[in-house]
Amino acid sequence: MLAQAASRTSTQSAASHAVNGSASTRASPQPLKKTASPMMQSALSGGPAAQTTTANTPSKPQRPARRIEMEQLMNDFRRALGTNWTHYREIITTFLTGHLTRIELERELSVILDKSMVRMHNQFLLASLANALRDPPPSTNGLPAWNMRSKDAPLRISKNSGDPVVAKLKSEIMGFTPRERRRIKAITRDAGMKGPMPSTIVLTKQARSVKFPSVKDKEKSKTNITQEITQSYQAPLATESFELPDADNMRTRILGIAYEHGLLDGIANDVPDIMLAGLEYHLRDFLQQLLDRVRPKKHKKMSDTTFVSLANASAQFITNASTKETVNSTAENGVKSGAAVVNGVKAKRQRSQQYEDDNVITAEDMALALELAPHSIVEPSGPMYRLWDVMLRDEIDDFPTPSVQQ
Amino acid sequence: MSDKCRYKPEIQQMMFVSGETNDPPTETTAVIEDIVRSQVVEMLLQATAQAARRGSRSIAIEDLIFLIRHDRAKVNRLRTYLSWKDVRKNAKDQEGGAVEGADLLEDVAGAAAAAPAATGPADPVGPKMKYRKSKVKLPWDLTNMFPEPVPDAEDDDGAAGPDEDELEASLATLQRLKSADERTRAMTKEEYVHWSECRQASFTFRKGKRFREWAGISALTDSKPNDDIIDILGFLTFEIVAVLTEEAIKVKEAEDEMEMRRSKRTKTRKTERFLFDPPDEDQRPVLAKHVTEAFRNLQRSKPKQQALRNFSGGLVRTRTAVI
Repeated sequence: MLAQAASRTSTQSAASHAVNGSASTRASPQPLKKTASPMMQSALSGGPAAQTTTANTPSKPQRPARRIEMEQLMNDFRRALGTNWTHYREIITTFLTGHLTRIELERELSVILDKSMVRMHNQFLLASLANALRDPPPSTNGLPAWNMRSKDAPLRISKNSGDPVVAKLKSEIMGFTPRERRRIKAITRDAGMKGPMPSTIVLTKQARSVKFPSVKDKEKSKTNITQEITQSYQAPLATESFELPDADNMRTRILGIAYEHGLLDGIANDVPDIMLAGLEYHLRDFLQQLLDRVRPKKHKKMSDTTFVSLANASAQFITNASTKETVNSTAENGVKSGAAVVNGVKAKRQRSQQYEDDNVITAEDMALALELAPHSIVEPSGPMYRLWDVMLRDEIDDFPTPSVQQ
Repeated sequence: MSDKCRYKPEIQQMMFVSGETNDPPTETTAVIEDIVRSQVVEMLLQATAQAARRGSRSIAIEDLIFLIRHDRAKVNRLRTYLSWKDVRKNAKDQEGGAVEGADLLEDVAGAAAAAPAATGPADPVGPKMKYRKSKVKLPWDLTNMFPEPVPDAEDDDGAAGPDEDELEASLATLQRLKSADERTRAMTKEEYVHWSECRQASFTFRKGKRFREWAGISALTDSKPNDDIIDILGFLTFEIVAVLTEEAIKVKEAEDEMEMRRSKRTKTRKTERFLFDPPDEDQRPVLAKHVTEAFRNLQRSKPKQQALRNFSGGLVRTRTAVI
């Protein structure tokens, strides 16, 4: 029933088109539309005709008719146009994208086309329109002849390439269901970029996956680069080896990271040295800030002079809970400094004579200092959260109740 | 960083004057040269920015002094140094180079001794001549903030003495003089001559062009800095090397002390001294790592600068501090 109604309306519209062909809203000249109507009717009748045939069955309408074979049509047209083919192509393209109006199209085409070619032009356009209403063609490269210039390779009617690889590929793809094939066709370059951002899980997976660069240059051997990258992933981390990395370890890892991100030329010789120097500077800086905040500092000028320079006295944060744990307990919390570095820094900062019975800094001190100044490590990270979480604190320490005087 | 050291002898002389008795290795002098150059670049950049804030395109003396305004001792020394330059120039103009007695030298010997006496022993100023010690006016000083000229504190009898900062400034200078005095106390005549020659080492004295090229001044500023600026830079670079050497020596001593304590703890004591023992502690020169550690100490940011960042994370943007 529905199909019947649809067919009736479509034939009606076709008829109205035929009648009103010459009296369309825009001022379209006669030659175009005169030949339009029978073509249009035949084109559209393919649709309704197919639909009416299946009107008896209450099921879904059958698929629309097959596409009109345009290649032959276009080749004839092209041969007829000759050298004007490029110009004609441009005109049609700009008209279809909206850059030319009908009037301008008419003006341009009247220069190129003569009487006989007008009919071919009409056929061409209407056939394209009819094909647009149907299923897309099986081959996605469309009509290759459309994109060819007249001075290019002459008209060739090639149905199958005969290439064995292509044939094999085609047979494989035909083995997929049509739905699969449609899904594969839907994958374009921007397929993943539209829509909302993928979830954190997907993003994490993307970030964690190893990215191998594509090597265009044939000089750099691709296998070497991928080997370097896999090696860099196998190098031990500082958290595993419990010591600061040395130059070789650093070089392996930096090289791998550089390759992954596209720097295929490798790294210079002193890059690991600079990185190590920067790392050491950063660690010392952090330890210095930690010690400043946690440990009382002796005034530098005490007995020699009569006054104390206020500029040198910094605020002190002295913790109450300094147990006898050693500094090595901090090792498990993410700061992998060798014992030598820590001792060296401690010695430099502390020039007083109480080195022997000095209280060592503990994990609580470190937690306090990090809570006070997370910017010394720029951003708190996993080990630091763990440190804060494992600190044993009574709530009563956080909110001390004032003692009531009687 | 890849160019070889061009100021190695000067740096060695400066280190000798600042307390380092051994011959420093090439690595140490290379590191010091790099540090000095980066400091010069930083100073010129900041001074140019300061001049731009003023609306001027060329760097003035006050712009450079502004960078070190917090260090009163250095500022005073610099002003003295500059006034000496003025005196010398005036003397040359007026007297035509006749060398007279050195009475003036004795007056300001205490203050000027710390600065590299680029004038040398021959200071052509006679006691007869009136000399104008033109002190560089510091625009940010309290006395210059009023529209009417404020009388100097020295002229006023009833005013309080020099304030705390002045005391501290002169204290630092006196400290330096004292250590220099102790060092030269036991020297022979030749050694003292050598010492005074080393004390005149400068990056810029009579080598202005070479200094400009080395520091890459043409790339930093549009306008060509005048000779006064170069002289001030020479003074400041000497100060930088001196401060670095002093700090590096402290670092080295602390490290050695720690080594000794550690060896003492593990009870490996050197019982006797043998003839072919490796050289003593005195013979160990300052190494590059001491210098880098000293530089890091000097780049330490004060707690007041970070006080507002408490309890919050994020990157703290630091500026290279001018030593």
